[in-house]
Amino acid sequence: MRMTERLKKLWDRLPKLPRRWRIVRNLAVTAAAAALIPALLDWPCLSAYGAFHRLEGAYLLTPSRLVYQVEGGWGSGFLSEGDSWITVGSVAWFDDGGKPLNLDRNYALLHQVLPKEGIVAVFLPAKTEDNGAVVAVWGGPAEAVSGTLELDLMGIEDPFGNDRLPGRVPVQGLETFTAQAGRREDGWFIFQFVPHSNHRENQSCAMEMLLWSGAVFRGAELEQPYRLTLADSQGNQVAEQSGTLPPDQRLQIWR
Amino acid sequence: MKYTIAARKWLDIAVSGIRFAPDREAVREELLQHVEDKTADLMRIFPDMEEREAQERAVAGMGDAWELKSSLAKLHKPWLGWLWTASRVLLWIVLAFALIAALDSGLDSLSYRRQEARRAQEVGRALYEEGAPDWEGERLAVCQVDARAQLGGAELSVIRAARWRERSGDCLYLRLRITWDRPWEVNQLAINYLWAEDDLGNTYELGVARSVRDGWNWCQRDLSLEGVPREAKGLRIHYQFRDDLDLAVDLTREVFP
Repeated sequence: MRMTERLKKLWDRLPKLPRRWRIVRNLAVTAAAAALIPALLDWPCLSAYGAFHRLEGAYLLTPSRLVYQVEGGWGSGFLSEGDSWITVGSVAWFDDGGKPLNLDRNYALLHQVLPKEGIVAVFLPAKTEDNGAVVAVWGGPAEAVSGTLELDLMGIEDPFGNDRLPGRVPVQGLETFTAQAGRREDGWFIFQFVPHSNHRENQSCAMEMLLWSGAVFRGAELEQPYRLTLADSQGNQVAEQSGTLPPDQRLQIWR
Repeated sequence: MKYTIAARKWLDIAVSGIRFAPDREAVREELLQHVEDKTADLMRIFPDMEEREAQERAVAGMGDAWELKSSLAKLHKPWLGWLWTASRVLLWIVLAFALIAALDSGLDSLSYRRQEARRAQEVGRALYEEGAPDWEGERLAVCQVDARAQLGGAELSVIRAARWRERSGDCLYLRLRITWDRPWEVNQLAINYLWAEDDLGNTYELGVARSVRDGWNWCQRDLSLEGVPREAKGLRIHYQFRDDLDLAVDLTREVFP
């Protein structure tokens, strides 16, 4: 009690500011504390693209331009380009982001950073609304205006299937998917793949199962064999490339 | 002192025009003090006068309560008081939120960071100044360097360098720092994707770090480049993901500590 009284007396003895200056002081302290809060919250990022773009900045990959975005499944896939590089990333949304106050639930990952050399084909790490997938291609001869891309996918097990709840059975062997695209003004070909519609009941299409659990935990699914042919305006083939889509580099920020 | 109903009523009317409650109470207290003082004066001058009568006379001498009310209302505008109250509420809300955020953000890592900072300071003294190393090795020369380059939204700099002879052979230590324009982009791992090339055409990984430090918008490492020969007079730092980094480190200005 005595301590409280002493403190009160001390407080009363302290010089008091006029009310106007007390308002100024309070607002100044409020502004300083408010500026500190984002840092304490680990700079929360409230949009998926914001989380992806921040990761680009963290890996010194700015300025960049967003080329294509896929929304669906477990998150969003992003394709962007800089002067000399191509970046592919994905952002997943978690109920528990593991960050202060759980305000920021976006978890971003860069899957590929590739140099702009030759013809580059990349898998966008997110499913489309119709359970399909997108592969983007950059480069090729200037006269190429259209392209055909074939993707070979091995049958993929239903990740949610178990003894009590049997999953759908994958197709045995390879399934081939084909998509066509024209060259966009920015030089990119965007190939949109859709699942096969002629599967038997309880048989899963590899395209449907691809990236079923998102790209954050199952990065290896990005490496898929492909064959690309590019044609000029007369329909003559001007370039051809085959190989495997690039592996997942899985770049992220550890704090 | 006991107050008559008339005195109370007079006070209530006089202060009722003041809309900001704390001001109203303060003015009321002040007027009450005046009434008490006047009552005491009257009782001292007229010792036979009763306290009740003295108080009534004192109140009557204070003037018309309604006139005083309008004067006080004009004098005490409420907005400044309301603004002050609002600023106090806002301040406490923000401070409470900042405290919750601070507790939730893992302030326990501060002690680890302090340790890292101390370690970096000791390593820095040993590498580039007169300090004693806690590893086996001999400082051959310290190079005066100041190399800076912009890459994306960050500045890369090499501000210290020293040639060393260690058990595994000659090496070059570099203090490399990345400072981001945006503090939310700070990322220690970006350093892992840098590599170096000397003027003789040899290439080096920038892998092993003697010390690691980071600040609010920067991170820094004292990196060892194994096998850099004394003949190498310059280094160029490259970034694995893009080819437009122009960070040249001049190793010709050797000074001996």
